[in-house]
Amino acid sequence: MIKITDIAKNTYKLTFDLDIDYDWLSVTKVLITSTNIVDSFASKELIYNEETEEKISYWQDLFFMELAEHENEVEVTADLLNTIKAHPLFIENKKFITQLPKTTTKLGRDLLIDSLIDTENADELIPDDVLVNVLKKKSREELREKFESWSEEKQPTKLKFGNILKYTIAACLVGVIVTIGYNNLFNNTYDFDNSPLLHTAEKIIIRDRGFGFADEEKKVAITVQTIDYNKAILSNKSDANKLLPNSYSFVANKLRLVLTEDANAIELLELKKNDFFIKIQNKFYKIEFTNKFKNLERLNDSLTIEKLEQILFENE
Amino acid sequence: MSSKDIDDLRGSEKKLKSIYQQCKPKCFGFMIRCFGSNNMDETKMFTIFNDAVIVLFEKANDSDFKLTCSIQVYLNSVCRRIALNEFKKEKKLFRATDKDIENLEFDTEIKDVLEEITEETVYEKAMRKAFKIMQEKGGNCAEILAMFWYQKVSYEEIAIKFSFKDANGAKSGKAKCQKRLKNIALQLVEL
Repeated sequence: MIKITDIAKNTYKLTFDLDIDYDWLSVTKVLITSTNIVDSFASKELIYNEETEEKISYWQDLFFMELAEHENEVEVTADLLNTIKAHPLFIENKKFITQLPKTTTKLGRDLLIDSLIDTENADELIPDDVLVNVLKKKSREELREKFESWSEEKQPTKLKFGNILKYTIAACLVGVIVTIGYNNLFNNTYDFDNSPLLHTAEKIIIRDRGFGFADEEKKVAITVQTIDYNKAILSNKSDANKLLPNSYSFVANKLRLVLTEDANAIELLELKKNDFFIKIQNKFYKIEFTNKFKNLERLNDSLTIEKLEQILFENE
Repeated sequence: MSSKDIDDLRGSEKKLKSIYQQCKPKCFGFMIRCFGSNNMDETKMFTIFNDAVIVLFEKANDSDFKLTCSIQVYLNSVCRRIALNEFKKEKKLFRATDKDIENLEFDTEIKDVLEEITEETVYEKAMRKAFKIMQEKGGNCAEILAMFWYQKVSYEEIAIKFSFKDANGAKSGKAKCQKRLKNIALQLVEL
């Protein structure tokens, strides 16, 4: 069973982000009975920490929402329960809580099936070693094509063994450089702007502004251009070969992404000045300014992730 | 797969996943034997089977639900029922003789199908729209609420998934999300 005073205390902490020692029994009585909570607290002087009117109303609503959700678990007398049930805020919140399971059903069903069919982690769909092999194969195919065109050309003179060795080493070096280039800095020649697969969205950079104190004037928007690599492969393989999967470029106010997973939910965050992160699905990546495409590196630092989640939550 | 598993299924995604994986091949085979491979492609069977698993999950969370056969037979029956409804929509008719179905494992008594999400009142519509707005905003609120209210996931699991400090952090986060959803819904009702 839950004590009603604990609900008052916990919802206070949730609203004001503060642990405080009040006369919680008296405070709770006011919360339950008052229909003009700000005036009631002002006249009774039960709370005295410069709580704003707006937040006091927020708190009372949250208090009744918790009561509505835990109606059958709260320790109260029958009389008190009747008083609670007659309060307009309880009636409003009961209606809301009763409706919630139905409202969340569609998304809940989708999430459940997603979790059952194992596609939650899209990285698993195309393992890294497969990607490396594809890139290697591509480099090899390009080299083979070159060899074929070379062999069709007239040979001016016979090559000596020393020359063969030199050219073989050079060809190997070209292969290595091409492979390294693909995996690190990739000079993308794909025509992003005219691609039919391009998805463009304006995203506001989310910054640490604190809960409820949005500074609307300082909002900075970035153009985020996204290409779905898997769709690009299906649409035009040779064109898609110009793309580096799971990569980005970031110049001025334009962020370009080549992704192998569904990217409906992208958030762009700035933790400190010029310290940028993106959130794609439930994963965070650190990004920096670069005009060449770089691999997206997943963020593993749990403290930073927590901080970023907090900023996102507070900016919702 | 016995009917006792239904008790373990309540609130356990792991158990549901094991049922999903074990029953899927037999359900697919059952659907092909019932309706023929010409009428059942992989995508169709996949959609029907997913819906059947949702039916099972939602029934398992209903304390009044009693399973009278094995989970495999139950899922076969629900798949058959959903498929028949689909064919009805496509105006296809299937008549099976006793001989046709004597070796097929399903229970004719089971008539469960996926419950349609119906909209009734202005308030319900506002809630749905508010939830959609929340979902499109890109934050975690919609997912947190769906996991808690639909999937009955614990605060501990929500904390792990969304990097809250602990279960209390997840509880506070959920409460803030609910308050936010309610505020948006009330604004939409007023419009």
